[in-house]
Amino acid sequence: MKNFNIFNKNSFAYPLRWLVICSFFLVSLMGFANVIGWKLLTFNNQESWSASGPGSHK
Amino acid sequence: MDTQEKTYQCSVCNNQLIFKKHTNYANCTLCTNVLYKNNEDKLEAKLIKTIKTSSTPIQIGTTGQYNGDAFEVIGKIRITLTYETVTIFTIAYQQNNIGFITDYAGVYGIATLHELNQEQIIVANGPLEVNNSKFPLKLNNLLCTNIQYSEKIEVDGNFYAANIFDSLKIITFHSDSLSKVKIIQGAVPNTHFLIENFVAINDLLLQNINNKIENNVVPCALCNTPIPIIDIENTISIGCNNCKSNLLYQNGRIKKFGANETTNKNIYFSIGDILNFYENNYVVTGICIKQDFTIYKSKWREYCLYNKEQGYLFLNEFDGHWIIVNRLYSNANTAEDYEIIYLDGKKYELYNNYSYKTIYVEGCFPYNVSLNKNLTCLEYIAPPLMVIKEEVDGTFNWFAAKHVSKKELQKQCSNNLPYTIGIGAIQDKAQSTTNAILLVALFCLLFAVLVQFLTVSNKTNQVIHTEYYNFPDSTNTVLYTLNNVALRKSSSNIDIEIEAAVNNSWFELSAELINNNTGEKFNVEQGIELYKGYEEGEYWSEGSNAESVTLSKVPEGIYTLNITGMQAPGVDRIKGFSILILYDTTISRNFIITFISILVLAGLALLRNYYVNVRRWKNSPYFESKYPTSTVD
Repeated sequence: MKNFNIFNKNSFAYPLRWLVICSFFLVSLMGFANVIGWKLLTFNNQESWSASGPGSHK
Repeated sequence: MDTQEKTYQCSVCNNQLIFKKHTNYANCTLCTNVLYKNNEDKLEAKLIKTIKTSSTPIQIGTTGQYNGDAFEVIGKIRITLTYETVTIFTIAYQQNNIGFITDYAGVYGIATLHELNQEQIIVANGPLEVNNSKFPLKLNNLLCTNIQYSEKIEVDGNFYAANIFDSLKIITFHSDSLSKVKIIQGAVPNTHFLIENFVAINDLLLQNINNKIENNVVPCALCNTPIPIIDIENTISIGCNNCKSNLLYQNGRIKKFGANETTNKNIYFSIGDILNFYENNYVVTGICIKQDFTIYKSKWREYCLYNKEQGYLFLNEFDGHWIIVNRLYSNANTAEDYEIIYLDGKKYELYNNYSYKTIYVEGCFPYNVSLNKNLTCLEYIAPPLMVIKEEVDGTFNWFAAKHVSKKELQKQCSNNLPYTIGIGAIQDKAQSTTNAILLVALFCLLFAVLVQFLTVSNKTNQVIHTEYYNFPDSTNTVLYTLNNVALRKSSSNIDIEIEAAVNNSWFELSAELINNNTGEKFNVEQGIELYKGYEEGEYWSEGSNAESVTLSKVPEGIYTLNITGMQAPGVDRIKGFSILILYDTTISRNFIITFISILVLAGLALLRNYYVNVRRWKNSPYFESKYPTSTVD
């Protein structure tokens, strides 16, 4: 289990690259949401309005 | 090369013969007799045949390097055994010592010579036993795999060999460290052994090799149809495409041993097709169909592939699943349990145990395809790899196999390859172990913890406002305004925590955040409801007195916050409500969602792994022991 390179076919992690990639995406999303103050999966129907046009945040 | 050498006179024709240091045989270039240098330093003529045709890339005069030592090939002895042909080249190193290159149809070893007294070793069909501590062996798991007698010996050049009388007895021991020991017994008491180390031919940096592709043709023993043979030195079995006879080609003679039993071929490659594996081109020299002796009478097809330098590979197809097989030089470690073996530190599980017969032969093979009577095959798998132990009459050979992607193979085949049925024994699907999945999941979770820590460490959790608001007498709505609320982060969130002591009633809070400079507005509403009572003697309640609501992604700026509280008219009015407004808070919900999602993904991987492997093992006679009935639906 020395080779952790998920793109190397000889790596034990190669068949699990989808798990690593999905997890990486989720963690990145979490990090991004934390930084901009976005609470994931909230449905409180927050509305916003600005002079440049309407928008919506959920 | 500055190799010490001595000149002798041929005892038959008086021609001058040169013997390099440490060699004991040479064939006379004039009279072609083979001369043996005996212990009294005299030459004796021997009735040994000289090599007429050769198809190996290594030839006399080939030079190369091993571990930095330059060498030259000076002689060659080709020994035809019952099951295979082995060629041993004598090489002279620059340091005046000699060594050997062994060639088993393209599997090469570099060998060193050790003289041996008969008393020093006890040989049996089993582990090697040594009764002398001087025996210079430090090899693991040394196991006798092969005892064979030569059926034919042919020689060329100047070489070293045991004293050849009638035949040579060759006893082979494999170790699990890519080394093996070959004991060669000639006329008693002359016995010596070679310690061989597997070597890739490319690592020998060979020069002056034989590149010629021989187009030898032998006539069929029955119908006289000419059959082309590419590798004349190693070919043993031949299938005549005209009369469908199965022929044995040994010692220059050809004889029939059977005939094809099937015409239902389902063959997708033809003799002469070129296939690329491991970055080398191989030509298809033989095709055969094998059938096992189980009640299913399963058939699979084997394509024999040949490359002059790299030797042989065998491409097998069963139920549309393809594997590429090569001969294994090392011995798998079977010491622990016969159902589990280890090779190169990898664990393989026993998957299949069967015997088979060959029912169709076309083209040429470097082994006797008819030797099926007492043959047993044990297949050990660690997808996408397999180790095969083939045992016949107490002799066994190891092979390694690897799954071949049908998609990749299709690129090299003009015919449409067959559809796959079920899960192949070493198909590269769900091949991860439970430990590997757990390890990867753990890594991902740790990564999530790290990112969470890094992204929330600078959160301020600033309290913007906290207050208890009263409803004025008889009013159900209250409006308050907070001016000049300064939000200093480029983007962050505002959490509003509300508490209202509603009882069988409702309260609703509406918050409006207006940017003083841009006029941008953010609105959010949150209701609080609590209803309770008794029904059919049982207490029930629904809702709560506290809720929270978040304004997400609020940009930096100076804001005005309008808060409107509204309650239901009626008798259950509340006096007021409290709010706590926090800015730039830690959002633990994001981490929990991510953490659970990763666990769900890992769970899916485990489930997929389990069910694919159940399907894979359903084809195995060891299914019941691997998955006892109670654990499988």
